[in-house]
Amino acid sequence: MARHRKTWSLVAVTVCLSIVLTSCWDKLEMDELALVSLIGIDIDPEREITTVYYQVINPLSSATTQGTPGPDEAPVFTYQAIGKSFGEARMNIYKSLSRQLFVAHHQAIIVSKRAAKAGLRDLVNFVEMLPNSRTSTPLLVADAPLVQVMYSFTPLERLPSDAVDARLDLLRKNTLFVGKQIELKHFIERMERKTMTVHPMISQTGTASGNISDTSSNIDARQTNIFFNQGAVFRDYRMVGSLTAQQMVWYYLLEGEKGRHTFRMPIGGKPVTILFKSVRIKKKVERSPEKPVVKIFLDLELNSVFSEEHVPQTLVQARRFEDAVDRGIRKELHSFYEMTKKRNWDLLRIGDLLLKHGLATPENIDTAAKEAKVEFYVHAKLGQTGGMKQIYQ
Amino acid sequence: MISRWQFTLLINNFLLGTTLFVSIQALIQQTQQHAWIIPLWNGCLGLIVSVLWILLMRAHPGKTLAQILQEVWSRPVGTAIALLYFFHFSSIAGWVLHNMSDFMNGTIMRDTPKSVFHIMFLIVACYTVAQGAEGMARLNQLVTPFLFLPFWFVLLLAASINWNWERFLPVYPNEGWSSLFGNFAMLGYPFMETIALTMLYPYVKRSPGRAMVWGIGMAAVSISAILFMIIGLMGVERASRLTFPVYTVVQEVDIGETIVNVQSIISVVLLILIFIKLQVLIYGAHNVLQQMFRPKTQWPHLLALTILVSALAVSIYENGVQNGEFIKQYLNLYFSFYGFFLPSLLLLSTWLKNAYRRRNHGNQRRGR
Repeated sequence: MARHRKTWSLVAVTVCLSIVLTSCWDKLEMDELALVSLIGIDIDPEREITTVYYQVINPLSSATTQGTPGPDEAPVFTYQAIGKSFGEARMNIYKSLSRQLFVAHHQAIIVSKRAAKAGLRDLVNFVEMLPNSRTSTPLLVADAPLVQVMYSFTPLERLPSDAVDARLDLLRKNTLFVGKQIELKHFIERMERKTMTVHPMISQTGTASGNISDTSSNIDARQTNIFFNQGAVFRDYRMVGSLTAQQMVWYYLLEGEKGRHTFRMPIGGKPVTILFKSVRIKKKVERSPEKPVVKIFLDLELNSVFSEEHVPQTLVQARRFEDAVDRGIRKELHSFYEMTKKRNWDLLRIGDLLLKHGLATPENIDTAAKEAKVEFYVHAKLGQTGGMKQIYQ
Repeated sequence: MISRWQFTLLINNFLLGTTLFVSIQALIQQTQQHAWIIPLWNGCLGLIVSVLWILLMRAHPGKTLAQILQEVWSRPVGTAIALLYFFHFSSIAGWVLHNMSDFMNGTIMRDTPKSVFHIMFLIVACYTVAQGAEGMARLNQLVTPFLFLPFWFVLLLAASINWNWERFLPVYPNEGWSSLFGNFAMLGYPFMETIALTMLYPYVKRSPGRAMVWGIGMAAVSISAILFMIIGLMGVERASRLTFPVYTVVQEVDIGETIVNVQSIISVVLLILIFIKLQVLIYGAHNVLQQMFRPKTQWPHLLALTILVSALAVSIYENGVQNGEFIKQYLNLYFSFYGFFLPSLLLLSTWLKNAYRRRNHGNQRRGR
């Protein structure tokens, strides 16, 4: 009897265990997935048509145990889905896609310029609503027609998404053209806080080619390539204008971005190229009877490695060099600020600062930000010098 | 017998259970960046209510809630009220299960039917309950470090890249403090649910009252700290809108493109916490039956409980909207009937009975 009981309890346990194998419902086989590397979004505001482009990685294009792929194998396929809303487009993708869509690993979202101008609130809501969605990917705006960007390859990098990702990384490391706060989640937070933000813009050079052998057999990297040269300014989920690459530098510098940048400016009457690195930024608000004064202190570290025109020889010269940089950058920052003020853009987030100090209320934030006096204090210090103590005269 | 520390941990994990799923978004929506104050404030109130239970348990040493009911209010009335508690614990268990399967369907496993999660959890919970209070407390003690350390490690990992002090705006004096201290969103759920732990109270070796106070205090501080982290990590704007902010905060961790998708750690931690909450509730429901009807075999009741609770779990609420509305409007009232009204009535009757007995006893002595 006791033995029977043992047998039966074993059977019961086995039956119970079989119930535990729930993964049957949600199993995802690797070769049934369409791994999306890049997402493109276009909205036609007049016809109310949403087009979503998914760049799906071709699994056969990567090296496998069977050998390396042929040169003709396209590394990605771009699928297009059309619908009246994002949800509809997402459903309609299965009219043409033969695998389960898997977007969790996408590397960037590119929106068309007209979609950005019409507003991205629906997009944000759609992405945040989805379970398993990731908002920690860069949001970019396409200056060129989105169809061109999504249907063309880039030289050197097989996947266009890698080209975008690596480029953003390099730009962030070596320049101030791109900042860190360009992900979708940053966008949402800024828009919800009623402040402005800037996202990189992509343009296309040459004639786009959707043929990998065209791209890889052409020496001219300008022929089909993407190019970062501008920034899209957003307010209240809408793109309201653009910044030039140089304006982006001053924007990111004032945002507190910790990058370095190379800039040519007149020092002692002749132009000199300097490499500067942002060390610290401090924003101070001073109450005064007429209007509040916002003081922005910026500490920079200078490097003369690119200064092929002039290298300071004496301490006096070094001080003069530093002072000239202080003045030059202060002037640039000031004219940048005047430009934003003229366009009614509070890109420096002065309003937010005043709100925090109790000098503005949510009602009068715009006028308060405009009326406040903004002063820049730049302090540059020469640090590292290059591989030459003295240049060839 | 279970130790004081085990009891503290059990209360702490019981309180954390579903709270981290269900109430965070609503709380931040109501009180914005001051949300972290609410668990502390409501936890203090919860402590005051728990003192009531401790007094009650002290008046009847060695007895559980169900036994006290029978002793104080005679067997028929006590049994009827104890049955109410049985349904109360069962319905919370069903509710917890539905919250859990909502989370699973909403994040990782979208196509798995809800009942599969419910029945799986119930089978394991019933098995643990059948092993008795000691096994349950030990299991909880064993897993706590595996919950505490990974959870905070992952949150700190997120903090190392996404933290921003700018998300905390200074507090203005004209902002309504009354709205903050008039907010009892967390009093009923989770703090008054702790009444389920009174079923374990007599099995604690030494000073269970102190353990209960510690457990509730620890949980209140933990929830507050987690809310504070969430606000600093994703800002009020997003945290007050997303369904599972704890999950999303961790989902966005991306360190050097190698440490990504660490949200599974959070899922596992939350699932185990929910399991602990469920097993305490099942233990409560099951032991109410045991102590009232004293059956010889346990398993028919456990099987029946599995079926009852799995049915309750599917039908307890229709959707998240209804759940949120119920919590906001009726839960405090509903839970305080079991957590405050009945225990205080019980305590009052105990005191009256004792006073009456003392007087009669005195009279008898004088009469002799």
